[in-house]
Amino acid sequence: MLFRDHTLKLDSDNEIQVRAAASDLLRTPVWSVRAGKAWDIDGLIAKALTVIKETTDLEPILVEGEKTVRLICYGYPRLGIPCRSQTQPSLKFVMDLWDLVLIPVGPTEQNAPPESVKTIWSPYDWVARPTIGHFRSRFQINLALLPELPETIEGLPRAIRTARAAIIEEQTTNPELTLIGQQTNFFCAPATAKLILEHHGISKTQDQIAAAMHTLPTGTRPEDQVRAIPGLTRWSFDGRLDNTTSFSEAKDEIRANRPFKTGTATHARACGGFKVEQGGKEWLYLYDPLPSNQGCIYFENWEADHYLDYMYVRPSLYL
Amino acid sequence: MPTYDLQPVFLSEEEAKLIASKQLLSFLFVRSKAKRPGQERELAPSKALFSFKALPRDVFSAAMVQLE
Repeated sequence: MLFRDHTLKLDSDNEIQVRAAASDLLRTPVWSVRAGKAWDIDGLIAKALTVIKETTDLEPILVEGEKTVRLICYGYPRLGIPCRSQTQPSLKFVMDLWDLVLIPVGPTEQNAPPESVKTIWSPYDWVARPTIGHFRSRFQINLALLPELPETIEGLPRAIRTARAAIIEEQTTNPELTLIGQQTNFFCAPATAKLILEHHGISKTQDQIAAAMHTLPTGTRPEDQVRAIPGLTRWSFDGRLDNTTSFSEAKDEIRANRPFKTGTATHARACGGFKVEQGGKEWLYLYDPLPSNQGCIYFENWEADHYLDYMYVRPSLYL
Repeated sequence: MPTYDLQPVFLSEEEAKLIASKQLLSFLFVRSKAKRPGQERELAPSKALFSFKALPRDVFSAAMVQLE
C-alpha cells in the first residue's frame, strides 16, 4: 500500500484532501495537501469497471478474499485499476481511472502475489537496502515535526495559529498561475509549459507547444522541452534544464516570480509556490495538469516525490 | 528488490487519519477580523479553501473522536 487519502468535504463542489503515507518507508508521513474540486472516486471506479467489462476479455484483478477492486498508483500520481486478460492471464494492464486508457504492464517479479504488477514507476522503487534506513529515519523525524492537535474543539483556532506561526516562509508567484489540464494523457509537458508561458503573457495552444517540443505518445524529453522555449516565445525567453534539483533553487525561482517545470520519472508539473515549516519541512505548490482536461493544485512535500529535473523559463539574455 | 521484501511497517487507517489531521493544522488559517467593515481582503486562490471558518461543523466532532 502506498498512501491513504483523507478528505474533508467543504461543500457540494470542493474538498480538502490530505494524502498520508501508508508505510514508514516513504520518508514523509504526509505526501500532499490539496484543496479544490471534489473527486468522485467511487464514480470513477464504476466507470472504469464498466469500460473493463466492455472489452469482454479483461477482468479486474482482485486481491484474495476482497470483493472490491484496489486502486494502483502505476506512475505517481496516476491511479488506475489493475486488470488481466481472461484468455491469457499473464497479460496484465492498468485501466487509468481518469483517462480510461489501458496501460500495459510488464511481467512481475518471481513469486510475486497475483495482484502485483510491475508498474511504470512507484515511489517504492527508490527504497533499496542502502536507502531503507535513511528513509525510515526521515519518516520518524518528519513525524515528530507534525503540529499538535488541541485537547478540545475550542482549542482548534489557537492550535491552527500555533501551527501557522511555525511557517518560516511561504510564497507564490504574483499573480498566482491559472490551472490548465492536459489535453491528452501524454501532454503533461506541453500543458505545463502552457501554464508557465501564460504567466509571462504568451499564449500558445498545447498542440503548438507539443509540435515544438516533438511530443510523442511516450511523452516529451526534457531536452526537447527546453529547446522549444525560445521559438515559442519569439526568443524573448530561454529554457534552461537543471538536472541537479534542490529546494533552494525552487525558492529562488519563485522569489523571482518565475514559475518553473518540475520533472519526475513519468510526469511534468508546474511549480508556482513554496512553503517552509520550522524544522525544515518543505513543500512545493504544484499545478498538476492531471487529471486530463481538469488538472489539480496541491502542496507536495519535497521529500515525497523525486524531482529529477527542473526547466527554468527566464527572460532571454540576447534581448 | 521486490516491494513485498522491504518489510514496510504499515500505518493503520486511524494512525494515518491522525497524521493527516495534525498536518492540516499548518495549512488552515483563522482570519483575524477586519478593522473596519468592508476592509476584508480577498484571499489568494492558494489560500481560499483553507479557511477554518469554511470547514463544516461535523469535521470537528470527527477530529475529536480521533483524540479520544
